[in-house]
Amino acid sequence: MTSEIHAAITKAALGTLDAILFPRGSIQPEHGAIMLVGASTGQRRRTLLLREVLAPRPGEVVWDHYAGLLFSTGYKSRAVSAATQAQCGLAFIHTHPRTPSGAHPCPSEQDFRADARDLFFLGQELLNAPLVAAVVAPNGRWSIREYKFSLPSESADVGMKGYRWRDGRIGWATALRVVGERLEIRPCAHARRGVENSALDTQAQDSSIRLWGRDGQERLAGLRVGLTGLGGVGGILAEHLARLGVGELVMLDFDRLSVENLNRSQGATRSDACMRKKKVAVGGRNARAAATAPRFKATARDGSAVERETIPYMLDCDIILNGADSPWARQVLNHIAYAHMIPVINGGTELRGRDGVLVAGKSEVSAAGPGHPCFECSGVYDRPSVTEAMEHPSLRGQRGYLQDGTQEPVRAPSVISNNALVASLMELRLCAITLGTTPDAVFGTQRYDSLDGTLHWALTRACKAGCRQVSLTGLGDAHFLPTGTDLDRQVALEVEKK
Amino acid sequence: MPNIDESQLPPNFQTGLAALRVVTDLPCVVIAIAENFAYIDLGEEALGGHYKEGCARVVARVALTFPDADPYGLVVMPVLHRSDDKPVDRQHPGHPHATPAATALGVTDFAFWSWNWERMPRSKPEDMASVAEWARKRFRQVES
Repeated sequence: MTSEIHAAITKAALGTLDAILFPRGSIQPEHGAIMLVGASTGQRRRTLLLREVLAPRPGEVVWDHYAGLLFSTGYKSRAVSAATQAQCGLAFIHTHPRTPSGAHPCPSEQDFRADARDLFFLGQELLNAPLVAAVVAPNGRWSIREYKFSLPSESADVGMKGYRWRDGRIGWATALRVVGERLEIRPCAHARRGVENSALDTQAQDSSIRLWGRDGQERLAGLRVGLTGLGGVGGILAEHLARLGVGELVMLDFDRLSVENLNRSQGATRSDACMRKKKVAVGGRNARAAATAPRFKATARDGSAVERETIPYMLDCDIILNGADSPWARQVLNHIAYAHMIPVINGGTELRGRDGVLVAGKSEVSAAGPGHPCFECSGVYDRPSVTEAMEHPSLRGQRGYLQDGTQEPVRAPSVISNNALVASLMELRLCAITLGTTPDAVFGTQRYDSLDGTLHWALTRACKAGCRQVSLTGLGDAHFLPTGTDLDRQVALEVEKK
Repeated sequence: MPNIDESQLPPNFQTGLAALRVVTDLPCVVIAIAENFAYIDLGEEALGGHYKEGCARVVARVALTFPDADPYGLVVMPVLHRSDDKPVDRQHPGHPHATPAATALGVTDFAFWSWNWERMPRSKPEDMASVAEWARKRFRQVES
């Protein structure tokens, strides 16, 4: 059962919607539009994904001095057909132009009645789909509410108390996430926690407040950041993000520490390694000890990013940082970035040495999600590597030339200095996306060449022709993520049992 | 043979399976699921003159997340032998990748053909229809 509600919209869809809701030169007091809505169900958070604007045709949304703003039957009927076809719900959105500049819009009694009645009757054709009503002010502030109606199972219940349009239960969204090249989180009317979890420690955070101000620091304090993979990169990120002042970390990993990890596991002690503690537990401990946000919260989850059971924890997040080097995990997160509108920043390093000399090495940081090219088109993973990662670890080999018993090397070369570089670039990208600190370093793949020591941007600026990733935008729970059984995790569990 | 509830398979896989059935006009039954892969029975395949065996039972091993992951490899029953007595390239008798299909069909003489179908179309679920053709193509190839 989720306890909080967010809404999310892409920057592009918001631009389209704004042009309809606030047309230049219009003398009509209010304007409105209907949007298709998907749902993203996390462990604690339900996000209403405002995925597509159904632009009204001339005469479909009119102002009446007595009845207020009216959506025509034809428009509503067209919306129901589109929602049925797209297997999603509907949002009725209209403006309140007279909202004071510093205030949130507030639905009127008339709005409550009209929206509930419309959504009740239209919703009967859209079983279990989200039904949403929203009011927008010219200052960009929103009030968003989701309706849940009990539908009668017997004809005798029709029209009875509990089954009427006026008996609908309302859930209020506390924030609207605007997702594009950057991520903007706008608190909504009825915000209770989450984005308003913005308490600061101005002494501990003084130097960063001098850079991005109280406003920026409050935005960091309002962020819930997902962190997948608590290895060499993720362990550094756990501590750094907590020091940076993010409000909440949701960490995910299944692996245990060993002595072989100690040369690159930030904050881990020899005792942790000897006790084979979970990396995610050590990361959580370090993050809590390092946190500067007064209400910092860390959730450490033992699990894999490719398994269905753990996905809801990631869907609770505003943005996800991935340090796991599995191509399969990167693929699943790539799907989440678009289908659930949660930006993902990925970082990783590949090093090859021979006779004590580095012969090849690169570190890369990329972002995916609406407004960014996807990880597959950016070359963060490819499908043959994903397929191989789905195999049992003991049977992975060079695909197509399988030799019985071939195994991948037990441990790839890894050095903490490269991990720290990747973690730093990921943190800088997080600040660029959420705070706008570096507007020219938001987008694309940033690559460090270990051999010549240069840092440059890759040429990929958009997805390749035929890429279907963008078409997944806002599908939410209706999109089947490419999850499965993480056999690395299963093997680790079998070893633990022994 | 274990009864696989196909309605529990991922939606894209079900769509692909339906497309495969239309193209092949065969039942293409999913006979086993193991470790992120499903085994689709493509039935008996006539092999031509390249092999001593005239025909073989062929099962395709396809990732459950198709088209987000590739199909990988074929299971053949029995183990095949070339007419010229040379070894069959990339044939692995009794390989664990083939075991789930062999167990499902109660066969003990089987092999896995490790074959990466990189060039097979796989941008949409319906592209699974190509699996049968790509399997046949493998048997038609004349090895040196």
